[in-house]
Amino acid sequence: MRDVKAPVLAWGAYLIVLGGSVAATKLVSGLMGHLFSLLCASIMASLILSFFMGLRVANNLLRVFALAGVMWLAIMLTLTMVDYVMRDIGECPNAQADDVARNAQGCPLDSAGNVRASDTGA
Amino acid sequence: MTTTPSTTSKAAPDEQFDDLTQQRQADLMGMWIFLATELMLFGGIFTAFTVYRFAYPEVFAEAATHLDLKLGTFNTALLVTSSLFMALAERAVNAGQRRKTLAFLFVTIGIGVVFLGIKGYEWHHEYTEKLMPILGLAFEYPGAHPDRAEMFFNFYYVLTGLHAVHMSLGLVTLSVMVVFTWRWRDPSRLGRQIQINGLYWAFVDVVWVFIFTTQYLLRA
Repeated sequence: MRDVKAPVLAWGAYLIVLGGSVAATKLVSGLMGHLFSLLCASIMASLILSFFMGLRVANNLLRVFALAGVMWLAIMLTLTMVDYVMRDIGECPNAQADDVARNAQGCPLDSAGNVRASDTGA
Repeated sequence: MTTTPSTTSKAAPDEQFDDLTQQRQADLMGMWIFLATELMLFGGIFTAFTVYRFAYPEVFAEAATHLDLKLGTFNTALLVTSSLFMALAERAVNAGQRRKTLAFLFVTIGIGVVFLGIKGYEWHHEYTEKLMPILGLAFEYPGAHPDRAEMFFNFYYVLTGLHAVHMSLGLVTLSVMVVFTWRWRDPSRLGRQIQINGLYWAFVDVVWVFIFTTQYLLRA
């Protein structure tokens, strides 16, 4: 059997990255921890694509097809999230910037201290 | 697929191909196109999850803590190990080593079965915790905003369930490969078939990496 060393090394690298990702989840909370986990996931996926799915030695046409799949996903995620980020979904999607009294989530309150029905998206 | 299947002087391409190299390229291209459609399937679900994860970050992060991180991590390590043995099976068949090919395929299948067993154990545990809001089952979430947490668990079961279906299909095709390897009638053709199965199996692994990360690791 030839070329056994590369996949075994990739397997070892994958496990190390996996360990780092899980450790980061316990040690680093919040956005930074989440971003690190997603970065680790990308590295692990790249290792599989390169060494177990053969993109490391594949011809360029095959690489373009594989990249097109990732690009499709990136375009869909980006366009979708740009829309939702700009429209401020979440606790109070219809909130106006000029409201004064707000609850802990930043939603505008009416005179009785309740989130207005028009601001809950209901 | 870092090695190419061995071709003997007797091996001949199917009639629509000029030679085996062209046939092999067509095989791989067809499989990658199929995997692209699979990516669209899972990609749509991941995009929907991302929207709700953005909308309710605290609830989703808290809900993720109800999943078993140790079992999820162990399963992730198991799955990549099965991918390693699948890659070794490809190399063994290309080297004309029937016994090794069979052994590596059996290990790959065995690890896959263990993965599904652990996943089933996790689902059962979540069922006993009443955290399975599917098929009309009771959902009793102990934290705040149970309606939003229910959305998280809906995504969790759709993603892991769909992944388990894909793994089961992979196990069936790998079992067929075991039979073909046992017969060992056309090693050149078998090499291409195992290569295609290896692509599918590794893709299932890639999908699991992102399921594990988004469901288990993005926690409070």
